[in-house]
Amino acid sequence: MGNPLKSEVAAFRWLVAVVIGAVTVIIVAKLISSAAGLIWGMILIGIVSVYVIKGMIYMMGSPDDDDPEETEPELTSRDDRQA
Amino acid sequence: MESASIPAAGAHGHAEEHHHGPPEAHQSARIDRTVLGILLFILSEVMLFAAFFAAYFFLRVVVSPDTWPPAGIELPVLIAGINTVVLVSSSFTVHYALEAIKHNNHRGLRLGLALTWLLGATFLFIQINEYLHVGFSARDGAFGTIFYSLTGLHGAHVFVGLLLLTFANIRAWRGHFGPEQKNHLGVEVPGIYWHFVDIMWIIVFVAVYVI
Repeated sequence: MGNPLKSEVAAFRWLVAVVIGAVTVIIVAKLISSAAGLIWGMILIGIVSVYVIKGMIYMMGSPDDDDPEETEPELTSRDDRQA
Repeated sequence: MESASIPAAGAHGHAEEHHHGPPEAHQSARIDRTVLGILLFILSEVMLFAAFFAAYFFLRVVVSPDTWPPAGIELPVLIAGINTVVLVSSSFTVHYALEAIKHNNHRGLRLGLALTWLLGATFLFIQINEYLHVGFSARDGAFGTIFYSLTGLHGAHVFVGLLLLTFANIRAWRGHFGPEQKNHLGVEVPGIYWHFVDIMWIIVFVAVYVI
């Protein structure tokens, strides 16, 4: 999904993802307990934070380091190649 | 005067014909310079909200884990849920507005921005109404203080967002925006901010009202 702060479209996609994540937190909290919902929510926020921080580091990098053949400067595509 | 201007024109070549003013700055990062400002601003806002959430969960988990919320306090979950739907809907309308101007649809832009403003104002109106009827104040213990602080902090951000959207609406009606990216930054940047405000509300709603 890319960095949520890159553009309005990216931020909107993340908003939809957050809505879905919030629904899962509510379901866990209602089905199990508030503590379980809280823990699940913290896990989701941790995942998102890692994504955003990696995206920020990438965005702050120099465009001179880009692969000339690279057309999509998305975090995911770069990570896939590194893997 | 004439002799000084001729070498300057020659040195800049064809760029001088299209670009007036100082030369374009060197871009040392992948991020667009025009987006960097809102990015840094939102990061600082995330840290501000994080401080308030830390205080909220400290009070809830460490200070009074057994009595949260305090006895006799009933939060209007249904009203807050409806308010959440209203605010999330406004993100869809601002996204619609931006997509409309990307396709040179000025009518859609104006409609989307106007709806976004109205939905945001409705959210704020319902929240103020909630404050008037919730039955406790910010001085009624730690719960009241953190409840009003957290929701009030978010409400202040909605208010700022409405101010940004007011300017965007006025500019849209004056025809300032166009389909090219550089010509609708005045919608894109408030749009990013608005989505951020919505995401923060979803977290506030789930943390304070639901779990």
